[in-house]
Amino acid sequence: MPQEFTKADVDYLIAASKFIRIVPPLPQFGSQRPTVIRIQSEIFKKSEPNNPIRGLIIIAKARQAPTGLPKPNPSSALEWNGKRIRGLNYELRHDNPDGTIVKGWHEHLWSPEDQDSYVVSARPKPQRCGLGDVFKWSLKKWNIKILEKQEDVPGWEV
Amino acid sequence: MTTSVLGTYLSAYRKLIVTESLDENNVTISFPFHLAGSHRIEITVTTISKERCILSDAGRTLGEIEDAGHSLTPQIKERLEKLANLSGVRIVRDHLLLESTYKHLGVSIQKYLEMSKMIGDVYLVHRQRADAGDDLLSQVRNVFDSTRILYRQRQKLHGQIEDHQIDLLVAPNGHPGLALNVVSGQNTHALAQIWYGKCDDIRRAEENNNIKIALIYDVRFDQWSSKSKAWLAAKADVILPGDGLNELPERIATQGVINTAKPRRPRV
Repeated sequence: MPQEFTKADVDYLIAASKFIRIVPPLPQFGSQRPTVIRIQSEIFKKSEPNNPIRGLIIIAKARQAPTGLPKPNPSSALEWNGKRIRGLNYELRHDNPDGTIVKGWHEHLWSPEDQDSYVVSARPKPQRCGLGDVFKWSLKKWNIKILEKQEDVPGWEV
Repeated sequence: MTTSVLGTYLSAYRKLIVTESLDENNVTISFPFHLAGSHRIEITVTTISKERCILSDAGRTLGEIEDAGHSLTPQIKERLEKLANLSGVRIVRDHLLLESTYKHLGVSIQKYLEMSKMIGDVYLVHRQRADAGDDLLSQVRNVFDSTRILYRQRQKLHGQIEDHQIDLLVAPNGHPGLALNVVSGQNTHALAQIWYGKCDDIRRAEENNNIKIALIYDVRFDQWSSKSKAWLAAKADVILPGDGLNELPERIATQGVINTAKPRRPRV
């Protein structure tokens, strides 16, 4: 795809005050979602509250492990026109393109040169690592507020 | 010398490996092999009996393919499963699994790594090709812009059987219109045959009677045999290699798509 945005566009977008209208309900693993569950939401700029930012979504997902295997950590991403411009993941060790190393939870930063390969350590680490926790952590990291909290959704407070 | 070289390599390799004990039955090992987003391949070894264990990847290999922008359709999963089965690796709930005995753990880890890397890298091939085609498309757009040809991007043309996505469409406006597509990808012969059929289907729709078809074939990564080019030429009005775009305005002018006549000087 031809490059549609620059690093400055991305950094400006992250810094801008944004919000999501509602925290989506937390899905559960089941026969319809046996492998992966996702929560995602469109994002609005505070300066333009009536129209969602075109092509920008926040997604958090968790995978179900086969019986007897350890549960994988959830991850989240901020995608703009299909590109991961920010991401939160856990990895024992991540090798950056410039040779530096990051261990544990890390945040992906986007640039035209390295795309989403470059990461920095993500701190403070979340107290809990449920899908909802990682989603909320991402909102905080990327300057996204919640207009209405969906605390009454059963199973949300994981 | 062999011992020294091997010793140095193994010592460096050992330093690049990171391990974490999750509990008494699970150990995760991070290897210096990378998937999309520079993520390392991490294998978790889970003890299932005194002598047996199971290797898994926490669903990361397939997850990385998804994160790289490819949807894991049932068809893709089925193909990946067939690929994995060649090494005895199974795919369960998007996890790559390989059962092993502790006696053969070393060989099993090597086999697993190889398979994980192979599956995880599948996306690279397609991603590069897609980008390459779009690069060529922007060059074509530059040619159109410099010749002041008005076009619309990513349009659909009705065919008799189905709709066809077209990269650039110059609408008929006194002159014939032009549907231009960049043909880029692997297996050029099959691509050419596909476009033979597509062109045919587009032509069969009456509404496209006044639209010419131009195909630009990407020659940067793949060879186009004379037979492949013949398939394209048999149905398209204009075919050009990606490195011959300077001829494009002249070639489409011969099809009457643009008016090459010099503007008349107004009489005084």
